[in-house]
Amino acid sequence: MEGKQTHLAWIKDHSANLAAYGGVVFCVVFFTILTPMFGESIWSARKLETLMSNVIVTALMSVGAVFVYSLGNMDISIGRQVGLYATIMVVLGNSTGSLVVPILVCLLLSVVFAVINGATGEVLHIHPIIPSLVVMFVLTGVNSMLFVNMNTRNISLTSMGHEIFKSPILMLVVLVAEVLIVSYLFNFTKYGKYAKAIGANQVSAQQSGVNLIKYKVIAYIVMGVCVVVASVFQMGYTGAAADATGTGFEMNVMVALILGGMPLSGGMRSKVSCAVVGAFTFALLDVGLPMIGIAARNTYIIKAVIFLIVVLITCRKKDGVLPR
Amino acid sequence: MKKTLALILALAMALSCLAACGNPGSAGSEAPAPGTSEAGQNNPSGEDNGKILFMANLNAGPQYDAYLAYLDMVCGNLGYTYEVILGDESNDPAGNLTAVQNAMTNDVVGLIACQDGGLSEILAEYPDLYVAGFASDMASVYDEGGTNASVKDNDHFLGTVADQYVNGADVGQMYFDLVVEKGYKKVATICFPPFAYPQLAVADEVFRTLVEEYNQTADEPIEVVGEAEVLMFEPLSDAYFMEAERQDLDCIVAPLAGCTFVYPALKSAIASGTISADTKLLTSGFENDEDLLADFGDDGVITAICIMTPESILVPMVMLDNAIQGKPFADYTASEAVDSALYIIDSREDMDRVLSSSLLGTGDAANTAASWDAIQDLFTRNNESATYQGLKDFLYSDALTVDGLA
Amino acid sequence: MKRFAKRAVGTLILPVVMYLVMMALCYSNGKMYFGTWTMWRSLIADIALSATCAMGIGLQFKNGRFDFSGGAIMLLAAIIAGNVAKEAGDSLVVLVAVSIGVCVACSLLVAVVYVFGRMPIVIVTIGMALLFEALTCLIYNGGGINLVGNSTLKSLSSFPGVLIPFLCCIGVYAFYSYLTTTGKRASLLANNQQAAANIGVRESRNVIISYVYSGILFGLATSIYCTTAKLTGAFNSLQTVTSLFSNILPVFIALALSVFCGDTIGIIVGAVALSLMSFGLEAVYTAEFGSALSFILTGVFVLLFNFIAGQGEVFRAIGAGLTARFGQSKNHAEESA
Repeated sequence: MEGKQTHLAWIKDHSANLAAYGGVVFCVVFFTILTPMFGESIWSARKLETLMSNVIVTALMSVGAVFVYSLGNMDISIGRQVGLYATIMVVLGNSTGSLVVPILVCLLLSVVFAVINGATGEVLHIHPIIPSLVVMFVLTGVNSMLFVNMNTRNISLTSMGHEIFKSPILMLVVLVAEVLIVSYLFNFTKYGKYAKAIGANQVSAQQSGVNLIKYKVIAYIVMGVCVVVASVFQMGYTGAAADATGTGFEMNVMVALILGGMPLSGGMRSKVSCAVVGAFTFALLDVGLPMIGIAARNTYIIKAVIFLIVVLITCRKKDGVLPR
Repeated sequence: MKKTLALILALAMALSCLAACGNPGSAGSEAPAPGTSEAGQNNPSGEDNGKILFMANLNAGPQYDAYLAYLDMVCGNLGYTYEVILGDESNDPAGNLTAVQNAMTNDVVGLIACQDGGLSEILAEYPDLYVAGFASDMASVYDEGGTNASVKDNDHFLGTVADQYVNGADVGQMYFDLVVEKGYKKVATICFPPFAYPQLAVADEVFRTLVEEYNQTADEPIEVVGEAEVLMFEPLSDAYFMEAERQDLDCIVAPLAGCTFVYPALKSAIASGTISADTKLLTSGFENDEDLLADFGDDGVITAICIMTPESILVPMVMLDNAIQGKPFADYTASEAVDSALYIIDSREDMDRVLSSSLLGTGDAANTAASWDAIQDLFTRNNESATYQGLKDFLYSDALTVDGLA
Repeated sequence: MKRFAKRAVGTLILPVVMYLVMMALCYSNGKMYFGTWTMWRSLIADIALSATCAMGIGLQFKNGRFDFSGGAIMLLAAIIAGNVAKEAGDSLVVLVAVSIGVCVACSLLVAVVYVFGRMPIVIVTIGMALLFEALTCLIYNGGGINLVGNSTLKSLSSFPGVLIPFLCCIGVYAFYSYLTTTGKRASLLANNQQAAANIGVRESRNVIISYVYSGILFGLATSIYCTTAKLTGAFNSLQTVTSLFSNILPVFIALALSVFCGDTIGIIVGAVALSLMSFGLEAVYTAEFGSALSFILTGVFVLLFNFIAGQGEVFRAIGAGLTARFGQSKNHAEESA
């Protein structure tokens, strides 16, 4: 009896987490049962590859974005950064014959953007979303200019092969490695702890001696590195970059994190697993719904309804004032 | 509360299952309206030859409805089902590849692609898939050094039908002929950026060259005002008509979707008195909006529309079916980009005929000039002596022009 | 008088400077039509659309609620209202009534989900944006609406007809902000949510009423928006949110200028400044580079503006220092005399 009560209490305390995981588990069970009835299982080798390719970029970005979102911030320049990094990788990759130099250049740029996004708000006393809005606008223009100058709408990597980036094994290994590294940084180092503390209560964190600018910039740097890794796979999967590459990716990250149960106000309840859970849930829907005969234009409404239901379960605040 | 919500989640998932339970191939089901159904419903042939994916570059509109109506008819008679998939809006290779991957099932045998982004990756991923292009010149395939140049020699790529002309020079010639026919003397040109649509730049250059040649012997020369205005995929700005030299134009030549990108600003400028009320528009693209149609003709603002005849989708279907059946044309040697059949609608009478008795205007396959009876012998499965040249001859015959309409 | 002058300068300096800069740029490039009545006729329509959208977003934003669903609501309302108005024989009244009706209904739905779901507003509005966008892909076969050729219905998106929804929007926004209890209570909630709740402000009721008002504002904006361009269903998830980030810029400017002129006039001033900048850049630069440069300069402008606006304390300190110094000099001069 006591054991049962303990279990019930545990379930009650972790209902939000269970609901978030429940979403992806339900999708897994649902499509596992249903898709074979329509001719092909979602777990066939081909569909697993499709699932991995669908999820990898969003998952890699979202894992890094946990650091920024735990601050209570959001970065709306992620998509444009991916577009720029993919373009640089193709252009410099073609001229140098290797991806090492372009990746290093992209990492350097990610640090620059991290400093702008992370520090500008504090230093200039402006709303934290303004710097990322500015970076988004500027990168949109820069990317557009690059392609106008190159006189094309898309460019491809011709100097080297990129088949390796299609390997679902590599994708999985990189994702697992990134999750482990970011989880370690987030849960066991001061970088993550201070990021959560800033998200929970910035004033208290500052008065406790946390250097706001330093740890915000570090959070954005961690995210920036993850975005560069995601860009490698975005570019590498087709060996190409286009002027529209990365459009809307910041919203994909936001949706994935929300679906995974990430509190957008940041703080102590932030978890790296939110990123993976949310990214996989949406990817399962993207891959599975067409397999069970849902027409493309009907998938949007189903995804919207499921999103609302999952967040109703995971994000509902019990009492007090309405959450902001 | 949470239990209730979890049950609602389960119900939502279950309902989505029920939503999928309509069997696309069931006989006797009501034929869906074009645009609402995205899988072929009618299957009079009774065969099951697999599924064709149609990666359209449109989501709605009279052209989209016409394509689907025609595919319903053709696929139904050939024993295929088809499914519309939504490619990437910006032709991003990864987006197009993902769209195909998500839609790919064991029964997919062919793909009609209206965008060329990611084609080489699609063919590498699915080497058994037959792909034919439609409403695209597939410049990345056929241009030297194009990003998908490797696809050209792939025997599973079956060529493409361009949206109107492959070569921009022919587009320039067409619009020059219209300007001369209509008697316009002061014109301006508008196009999309050359880096995205290089053939439009060619068209503009050829147009201006033809005008110069014409002016050498003409009594009344034609004046082309300024350089071509380039639209960055945004509608024309009102500031365009504030330039003094553009306030008394006879016409604007816009070989792009002018009804969407040029017409609004032109109409506003006319309504506000900024420009002459006699400024006309020669453009491409078809809208069946009543107000736009009422403004068509020599008395209206839009005096000519050039548009691909939707029955041109017949070509990729023939090529795909021949390849899938293992019976290619004897005279087909290599993939190529071919011009489409063309409607040049340059009078009110033409427009009325298109609206009342064409597939494009009615969205009804019963009104097609390329009915199943007319085309079935173009397929090698029905006629072993059918030829690729014969297919092209049919495509360019009068039957698929405005003159061929009742 | 001095105070009025200070406020007037603070309010007008941005649009005036922008006007002068753009005029210099245009005139130096031979675009002499800048500043003419023809330009203003066209620009007023753009300003009206930008300002009305910004007011709809800003009403919630200044109450601490970042609303991502405005774009999707407007798109859905535009498609429904446009189609219904056409079927009703191009009726302007029907267009406006259905626009406002649908926007209010959708905004109410957002409010209800927020209040009863008790979820963060960003999450609610993203979810509702997904839902409304999905509906635009289903209604009328995803074909949207194209009213650009309809001169009757277009009268509300061109001068002088555009002034009607524009002025109504200003009236509604100002009425809500300054003349309703809801608006004043919303300010209390925005400043200190817990304290306001403790003194008896019923937040749920306040939120629902404020969303009715933002629905009205979006409805008026929709009656302009639906005839400016061809509108189709949103087949890319959250594509309407991208437009939010452009339409919210006047709100940021308004927040900075509110100390001089209040946020109502601030939004209009912001919309004027941004429209002038956009018009000038489009007129001068070629399409490819013009578009890219416009994005870059808009971003830099937003950053600079917010930076300058955020240095209020620094400017006050400089002002106080100058006053003290000149005040001393004046005293010395008087003593010498």
